[in-house]
Amino acid sequence: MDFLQQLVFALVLGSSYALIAIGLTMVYGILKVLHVAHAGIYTLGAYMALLVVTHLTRNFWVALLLGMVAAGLAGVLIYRGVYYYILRRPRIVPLIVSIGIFTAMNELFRLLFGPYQHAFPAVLRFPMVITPYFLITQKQLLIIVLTTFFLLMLYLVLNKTRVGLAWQACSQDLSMAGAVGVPVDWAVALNFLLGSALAGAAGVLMAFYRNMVYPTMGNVVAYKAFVVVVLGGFGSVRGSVIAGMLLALVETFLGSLEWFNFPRDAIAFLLLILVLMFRPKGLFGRL
Amino acid sequence: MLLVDDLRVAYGKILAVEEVSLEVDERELVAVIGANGAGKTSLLSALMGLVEPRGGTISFRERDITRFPSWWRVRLGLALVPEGGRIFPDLSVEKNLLLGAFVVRSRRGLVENLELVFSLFPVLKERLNQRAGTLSGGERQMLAIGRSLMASPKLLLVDEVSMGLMPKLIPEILGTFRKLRGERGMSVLLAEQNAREALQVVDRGYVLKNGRVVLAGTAVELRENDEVKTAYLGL
Repeated sequence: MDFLQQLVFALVLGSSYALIAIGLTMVYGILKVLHVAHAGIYTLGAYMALLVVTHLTRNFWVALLLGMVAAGLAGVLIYRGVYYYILRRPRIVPLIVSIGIFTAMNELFRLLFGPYQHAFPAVLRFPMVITPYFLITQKQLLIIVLTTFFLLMLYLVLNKTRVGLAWQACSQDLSMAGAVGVPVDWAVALNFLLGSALAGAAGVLMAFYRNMVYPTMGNVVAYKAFVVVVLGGFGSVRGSVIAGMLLALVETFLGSLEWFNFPRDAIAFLLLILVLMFRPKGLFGRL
Repeated sequence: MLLVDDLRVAYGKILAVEEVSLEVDERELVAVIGANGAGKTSLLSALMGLVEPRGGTISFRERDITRFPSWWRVRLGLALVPEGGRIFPDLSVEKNLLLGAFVVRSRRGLVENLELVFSLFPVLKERLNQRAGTLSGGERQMLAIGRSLMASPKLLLVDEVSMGLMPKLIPEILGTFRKLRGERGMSVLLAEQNAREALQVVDRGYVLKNGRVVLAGTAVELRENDEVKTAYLGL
């Protein structure tokens, strides 16, 4: 049935939105910085994985792992190397710096790897699901399963560990968190590590799914991730995941209607404007 | 135990604390009294590492902690009950208390501290799963004190705990600090606008005015001092 097939597409798209938006939300929740360069991290993950598959091994899992590691470390580097020193400035300062980092990263990818699209020839043994009603290719199944796994892990870390507790405190009152004994610098660095690794995973997964890697692949993603974070109610991880899935559903189903002749990417921004006008705290408030 | 020497705190060009020197000994209750804006909160914030001092030194248990991050000070045995409590409003009472014990690594220490907090403030036990933001003003102060005790502090910094409390609760809350000294050997530095109540419980006190220490002495001396009587006790 067409409906179920569309649902599969929406789940795949929503997975990528959710994975990217989580990092943005976590950073915003704690530092109150709009971390635009996060989309550069997404691209960086994809390029790292590309290097692995073209030079090291075709094994997808190795590429994914190294892509996530590189992305995570790059995130920590951006925090400790840049944001750390400008956090107490007016909020516009880190925002503009972040846009600068993002642009610089895009240019760096273009200089290093050229302005063209690279194929992503990773190999993966993974089942495929064919039913009379819909088909899930191995790549689609991989994305859905992996995203579910990551979200479960994230849920456990946030709710069942010391680090998660520390993050909850940091996002409510950063200096008070320090005053009860939370090593704030470490907590924030770990937060960047995890959020960036997830963005890197999204980059690798999308590179694999669409079979291409290119310097500006993070651009639309950057804007969309912001829409997702706003819809989800700034700083709420659960909200972002739900909002990411919702946005993907709306985009996929509206886009599949015959009379819908608008560019699909515009839907997110129309939604953004509507939400900011009528529900500025996000669709669900703070979850 | 705590030695503050020539401490200065400034926000931009505005000096909030000027050349303040004071000390707190083991098992001692000390008050810093002063009007609103005298610099009490700035002083305590600097002691806890929430603001960076412009000059001077803070040493705690024979260590110069002037530039230590606040979480490191907690590990050395300092804890703060901040003005207004500053509990984590969206987290449960239980999580607030667990966060207070972030530096306590042993299970036993955690349980002991929880028992101490529940014995002082039984109402917190009933509210464990409630969101801290839904507590009443008095309960929030109790949670803030409880949270600070969870870290097994050696010196408790208490900022304006009487503010916003029902008058009849004030002696009770201040009394708990005497109890803590007796049972746990804790020292307490109490910043208070309410000089009358504060001078009832402490051993010694400093009077802070426009960021400077203008008077120091035992609680009895301060209570009998004419200047204190007219300016802070309203006699």
